[in-house]
Amino acid sequence: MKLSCLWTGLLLLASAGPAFAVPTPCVASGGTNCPARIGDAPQDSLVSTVNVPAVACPGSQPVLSVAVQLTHGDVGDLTISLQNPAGDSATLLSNLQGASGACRGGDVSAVFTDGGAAPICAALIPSVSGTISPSSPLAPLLASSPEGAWTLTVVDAANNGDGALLDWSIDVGCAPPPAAGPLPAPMSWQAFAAIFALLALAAFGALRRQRSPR
Amino acid sequence: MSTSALTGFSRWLTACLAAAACCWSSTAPAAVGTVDAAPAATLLLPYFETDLANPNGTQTSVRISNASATAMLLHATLFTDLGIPTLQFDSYLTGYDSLDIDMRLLFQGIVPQTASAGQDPTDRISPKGPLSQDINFASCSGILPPPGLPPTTPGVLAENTTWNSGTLAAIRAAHTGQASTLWSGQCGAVAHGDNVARGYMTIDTVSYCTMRYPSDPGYFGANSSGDVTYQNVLFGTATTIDRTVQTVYTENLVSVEASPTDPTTTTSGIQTFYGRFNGNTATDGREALGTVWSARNMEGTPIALDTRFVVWRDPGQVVTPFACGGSLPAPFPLTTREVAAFDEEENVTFAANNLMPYATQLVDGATLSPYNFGIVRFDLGLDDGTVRQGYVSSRILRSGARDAMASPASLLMTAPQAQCLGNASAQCANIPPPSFGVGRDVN
Repeated sequence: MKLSCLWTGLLLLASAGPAFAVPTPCVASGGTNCPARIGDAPQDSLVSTVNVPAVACPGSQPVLSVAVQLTHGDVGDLTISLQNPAGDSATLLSNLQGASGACRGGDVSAVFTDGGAAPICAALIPSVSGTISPSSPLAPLLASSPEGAWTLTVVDAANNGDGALLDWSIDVGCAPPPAAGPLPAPMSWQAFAAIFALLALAAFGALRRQRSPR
Repeated sequence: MSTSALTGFSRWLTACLAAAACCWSSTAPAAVGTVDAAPAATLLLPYFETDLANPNGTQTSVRISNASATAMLLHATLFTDLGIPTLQFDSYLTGYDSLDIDMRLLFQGIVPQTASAGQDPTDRISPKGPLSQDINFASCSGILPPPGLPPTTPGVLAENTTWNSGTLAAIRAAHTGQASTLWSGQCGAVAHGDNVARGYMTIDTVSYCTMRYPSDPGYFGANSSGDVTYQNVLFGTATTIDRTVQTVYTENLVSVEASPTDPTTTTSGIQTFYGRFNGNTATDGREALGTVWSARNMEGTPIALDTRFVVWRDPGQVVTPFACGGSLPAPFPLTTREVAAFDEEENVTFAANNLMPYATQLVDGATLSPYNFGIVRFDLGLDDGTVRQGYVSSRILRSGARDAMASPASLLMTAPQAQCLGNASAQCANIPPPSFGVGRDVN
């Protein structure tokens, strides 16, 4: 009985944890157009797809993060958007601004996820890096099954300035399971003092019983 | 601020103003044979550095513009710092169009996307303005827009792919002094051991898309029968940026004007820009650069100035790849005929003749001059007296500060002028003498 409970607990932990959060990289999974040149405006945008396998998150919500690696001379020219298999879209990055006007920095090497930091235009390359918030939230893209072809679109809105999409990946992970209930409130010092006094009194009584003659 | 610091700063300011005045005063009409800053048929990027390991290290990017309403076809060629060609590609400009060549991206296999009207009928790759001509170069079909380059690479590459990894590795190795499959494992550049690609680049106007190097037969031809044209319409700038130390230098690309009729560019035996590839027969019709130059030099205290000279030199002959680790191929190392450093009291010191031995390099001013302030005079001929064209510009940096200045050296004598000094032969009859009082020797 006790052994079966242990196995059940382990299985629940495995299914609820991040073990199913397997990123699907474009290059390694044989996605399309990675690497590929980003067409300079007014050329067609670059479209790249990857196929995401089925994801199971029993007892928790799936969460989405998208890693993008691209090289480009003028990051502020770019708009990057993501579309799920059902056709819903979110914008990851759009015409990022620098200190004065469009960001003239180079390259993006960043992970986009809801709740990330606001993107900034850094002087060093990569100009956009770290874990950053997309321009529009990603959570709605998980309203339907994530299984299927996801599409990344990169648009270069200004003529001159070249670049290429090197790789990107989709990571549909599982959020930590919700806690069973609220934790008990911490003990007040008065309650702690009362318990201590009771324990001391009991110990004192026990000592007295040991010393008293039979 | 101390008096000495003020004096140093005032010198710095004066130099900046002088450089600005030089830029503003370039309004004289273009003259073939004078190396002036005018639209030209060939542009020279005399030196580039691209740190392949660190994108925030030194990088170079180029902007080329078409000064005319006429559509132009360009042919760019990269050379190693020993003057060996490694890579070529064609680009198309509509009238008044501009083109960026970012060397950081180029060494990742990303070439500017352009196409003439025939390859871009909807005008989405090379859009044109209301005053711009946009025509079809039928010879560019299959070449523009650039597929994975170079187009002669075996294997099929989709139009929008980057180069294949093997080609890219070969070109990167070629410009860093490593064994390259471009030359069956031989080397073609100086190995500095720092993974920085170095070299120079030329851009020529051409009449059709070509896969020939300037060193190939047919690239130049008598009576306009070669690939190149004589359309003096190009101008441009090169920006060298080091994000780590936060410095930026921008300078003009070197204009090399062409003429099918001017005696300075059409007289066999008189040096021309591409003379080393055609036996100095002047079939390229491009003016030779200078051989004697003079430039400001500022070093050291009180405000930590540092001068670096870009020195481009004509090897004078075709250079062949060589066994890695062995001696450099002929004619290297190049000697200099005379490098004289003056201080501000006209004291003079002559530098050794082996301090700028390659086809292109960056030379620390402190190695040429013992003086903190002064000028350096370069005769880029060889120590045996042979006249060789070259080019010098100076980059002056105030260490620890972001202000930096780049300006071309003053041209004292072109290569043809030096060739014709005291030469009364017929081939020199139409070569104008150098300015009054300027000779090849300091004393």
